[in-house]
Amino acid sequence: MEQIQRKRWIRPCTLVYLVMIALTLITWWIGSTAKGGLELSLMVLLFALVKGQMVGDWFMGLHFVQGIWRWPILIWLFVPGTLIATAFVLSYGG
Amino acid sequence: MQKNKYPPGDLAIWIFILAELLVFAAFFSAYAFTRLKNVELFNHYQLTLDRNAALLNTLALITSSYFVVRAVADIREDDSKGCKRWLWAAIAMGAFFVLIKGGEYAHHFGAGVTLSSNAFYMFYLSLTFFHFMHVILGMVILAAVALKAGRGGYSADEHTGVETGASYWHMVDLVWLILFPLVYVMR
Repeated sequence: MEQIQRKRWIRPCTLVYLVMIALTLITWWIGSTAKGGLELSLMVLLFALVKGQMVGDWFMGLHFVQGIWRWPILIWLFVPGTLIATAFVLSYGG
Repeated sequence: MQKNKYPPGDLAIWIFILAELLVFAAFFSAYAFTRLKNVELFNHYQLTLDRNAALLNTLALITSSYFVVRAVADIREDDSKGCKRWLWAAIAMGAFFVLIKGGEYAHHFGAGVTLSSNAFYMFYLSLTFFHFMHVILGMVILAAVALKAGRGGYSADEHTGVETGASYWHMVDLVWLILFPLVYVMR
């Protein structure tokens, strides 16, 4: 059977790469121009966790894995991410 | 889409990766909770760090990880030469990281900063240097894989070595993605 190949305008990994670059630039901009603050710190942390999940899913290839090996990176991001967020909330008297 | 039971590469490297990630998770949590008791000190000395250098390093590691993804994609299509080229490009990005980070260390050591200067510098130096050593090890692994790819040692059917090296390198990138905002930006 003849297969019809559709040409992708961009590879998924390239799209992920560009999103990660954009989030990194926003993080740097926040660090360079703002004076900090709990909301900005948590936003920056969230960006980092999203980027981490992108690396796990699309660069490490865990998006294409089923079963327990699908989750280690997500769990790794969640646990220290939650602890870091808790410590920062507490440092602001939360 | 058919999903795999195991992640790409040798399963042993994933055990190693998870062990490494556990150590870094403990480091990150210790940093955050030590900062809790020394907020003023951490906020003050964080401003002595070079955020522009950290940005360049972050871009370098993300880009190198992307190059490694392309190397794996090429070998899956039996393109050894393409795989080799992407791997050497990734190693070049790693070398750029080492150069920038080395410059940062030279600046801090030149200013008399040591592990015992204060709690912030203790974490900054130990965390980033521990990661720095992983970057160097990752570059050695990628170089070994690139050399074998150059000799035609991998194919579309057998490229576990490429995926194993790639997984390790992505772990190095992943750790830095948390380290960068935590140490350089969040305050």
